[in-house]
Amino acid sequence: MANRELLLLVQMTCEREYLEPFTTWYNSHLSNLLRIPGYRWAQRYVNIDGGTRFTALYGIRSADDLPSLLHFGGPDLHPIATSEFSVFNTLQGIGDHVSNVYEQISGAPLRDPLLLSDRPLSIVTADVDPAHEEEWDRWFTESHLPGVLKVPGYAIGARFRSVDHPALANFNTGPKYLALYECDNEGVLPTLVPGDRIHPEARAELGRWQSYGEIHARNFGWGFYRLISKHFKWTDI
Amino acid sequence: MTLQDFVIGCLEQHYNAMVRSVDGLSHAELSWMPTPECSSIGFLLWHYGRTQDRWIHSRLQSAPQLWEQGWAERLGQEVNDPNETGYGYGPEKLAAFHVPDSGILLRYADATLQAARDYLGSRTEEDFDGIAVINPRGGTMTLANMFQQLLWEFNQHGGQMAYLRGMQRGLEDSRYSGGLLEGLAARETQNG
Repeated sequence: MANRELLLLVQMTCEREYLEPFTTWYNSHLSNLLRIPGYRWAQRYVNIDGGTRFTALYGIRSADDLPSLLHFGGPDLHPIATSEFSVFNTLQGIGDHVSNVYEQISGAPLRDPLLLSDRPLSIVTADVDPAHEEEWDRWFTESHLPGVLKVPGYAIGARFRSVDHPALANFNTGPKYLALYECDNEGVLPTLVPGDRIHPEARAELGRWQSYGEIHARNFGWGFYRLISKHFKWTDI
Repeated sequence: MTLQDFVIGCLEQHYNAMVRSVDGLSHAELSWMPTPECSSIGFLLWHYGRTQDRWIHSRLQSAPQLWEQGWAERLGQEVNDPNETGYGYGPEKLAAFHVPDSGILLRYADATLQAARDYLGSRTEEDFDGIAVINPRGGTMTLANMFQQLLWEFNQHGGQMAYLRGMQRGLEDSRYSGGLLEGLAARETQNG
């Protein structure tokens, strides 16, 4: 695991009256974090349903970087991370904050091509009943994810599992499993969700999810997100 | 510092400036053209990759371009003519050009930069005067001339990209000096 790129997901809501200072801070936050060695890229999304739920995704070079990036209170935390998160703690109107570091377990490779495009994302998070985890995990990878990708409108997808690491002992707060799907465009979204326009393939896969996947899932979350901004790392010179 | 390292340093500094110009832009901002006779930031970024790819592979090594080995498809474009780099585009072709997403464009640009690093890493200092390169305007030129031309072109386009960003996002941070000076100062501070 040490040499594999990891994915940091951070989700939160922000009350509308505090959106302006929140957005102003976030616009510089991602660029500032990318100055720390170990962060490779960062992208920010907002829930498409007119909500105020936000998702930020970050690429982390490897698990070796976790102490300097995310080990709050640890001796190796980078000063920029300390400074950024001390400001974060002063922001008002924040709710439902979860964050997790994930490793990829299947699907389209991260950043090659997953998350290179500006396409809307379907983000699915879940824990699973430990008694059924192994079987559920296999079903998701071998049946559900390929089934979802057969639905017209879904382009590519991948699965992730949260990482256990000493530097993350007090950090990970979100569900253990994450699935990301890129959708062709926002126009197809009504055909992917329950309603008059749902595509037959989407209805069928949703049925399979309800008859097996959902039964063992816990803390389930699903939403469609629009890209707000993306940020890139400089080459060291 | 060797001449190879000097050229690589220039290319990397230019790449970083492009990343800075693209950072945080929406696709609309990336595709924006102030007039029909002006390029967009996205077009210039694509042109950077195409230009470097053709020089490093076709012209210096008579080798297939990255463009012909999957990158055209990844960018949602057709290979067609490998000499197609965007050079000489007029208003009609600029208007018809669909700017790919910035993440993919930067990956292509980065891949061509890596190819340039690899090529320069395989050369000696003497090669800069010893290797003859076809001059597309006629005759031949030295490898040194070729990289001089490439760096000039990239600096031109880098400035254009930064200006196009400024037209949409406002003035650049006055503390920014191209990244090199900031990086050297930070290293000196770190070293005490």
